[in-house]
Amino acid sequence: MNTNGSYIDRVHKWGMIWNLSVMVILLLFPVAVGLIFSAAPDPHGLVMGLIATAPLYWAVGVVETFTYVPMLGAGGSYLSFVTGNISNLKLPCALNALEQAGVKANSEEGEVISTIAIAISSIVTTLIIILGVILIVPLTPVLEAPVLQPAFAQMIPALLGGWAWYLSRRTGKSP
Amino acid sequence: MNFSINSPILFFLVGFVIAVVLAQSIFFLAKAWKHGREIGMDSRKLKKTAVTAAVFTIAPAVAIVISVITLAKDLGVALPWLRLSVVGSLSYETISANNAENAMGLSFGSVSGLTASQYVTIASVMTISIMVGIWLVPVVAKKLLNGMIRMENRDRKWAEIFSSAMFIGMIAAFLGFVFCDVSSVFKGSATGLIPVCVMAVSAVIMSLAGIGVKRAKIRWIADYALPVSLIVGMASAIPITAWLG
Repeated sequence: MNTNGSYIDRVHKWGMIWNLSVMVILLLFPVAVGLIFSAAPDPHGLVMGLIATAPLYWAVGVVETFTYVPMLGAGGSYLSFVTGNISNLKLPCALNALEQAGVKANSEEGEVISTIAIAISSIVTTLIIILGVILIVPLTPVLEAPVLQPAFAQMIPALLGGWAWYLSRRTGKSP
Repeated sequence: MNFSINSPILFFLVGFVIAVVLAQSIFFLAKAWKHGREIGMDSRKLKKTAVTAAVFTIAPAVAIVISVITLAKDLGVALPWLRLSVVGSLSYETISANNAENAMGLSFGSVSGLTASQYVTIASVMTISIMVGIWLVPVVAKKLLNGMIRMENRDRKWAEIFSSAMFIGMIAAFLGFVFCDVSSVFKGSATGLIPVCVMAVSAVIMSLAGIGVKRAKIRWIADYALPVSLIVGMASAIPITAWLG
């Protein structure tokens, strides 16, 4: 890909603006709730909660960034790290799209395909969650039915089985 | 204002954040689509990519809704809706909510009547702890991707080895999740084999799809092979769990 080309440079510029803006908005959510309800965070709970959670996920975040960005491309990375659910949704979705389109992530076509796949996946996920939130009362007994729980508990292994095929394609041992 | 975990103002705030993130997805989609057409990509290829991505997303998104329902028991609907729509992930949100509640002497899954202070604390912990990727990507993505391209221009084979190694490393990390409980077999329990069997079912479906594409020349199978293998694999977990669980 020609890195001096204007599209990829613009993607990085847009990504920086969007990601940093969303980060500020997200950080303002607890601040806004605190101001509206005149409540401050519990200092002990905040510090202990952060100590128990942040170091692990900050380390994971660094590793995920350096691992996933080359696979997702520029636009896909900016979107994925804002919309989340990368390993269980966005990454396999993008890899599948690249595979089906027969393009590489670091090509100009790959950049387009990866971004479209991740954007569509993000939009569909957001809409399904909105639908789930609106229908939460009738949906709860259905989705929490004991008979369905093993299916949702085993989502990652079910996903990995498909990835094994993708891996075999990458290493030239396609079925 | 009196606090409630399902206060309408919380839904308004969350709705605003989600609308911004939705706008970002639509913005990048429109720009990528337009650029794809500019560089001569077939619109049918772009549409096929969009349809396949949408189909693939359905099953994992339903699993995310279940996480919203699980967290909603303690935190109300608004905060889990936000956390699982923006930045978060299935595994992370439960762990971070659990840690934040434990830090305040609460027990995850049996919390009732959170105070505004406790709510703000939990929301802060869940938000701050997951923030690395969202700012690190703008800092490193350009350098990282340019570095990959430079490496490929210098030595294509080494670049491919590097890229495959990263992918295999990631798969290896996930395989730990699948095989971590296999040793339970030696203690007389077969439950540790459930994820292994589910993965095998999913891989068999993908292999059959591969054979269908290669031998029978049915190209469209490839478009839906991954979502179908995911759904069949998940569905197979029901009888497999009943058998081994």
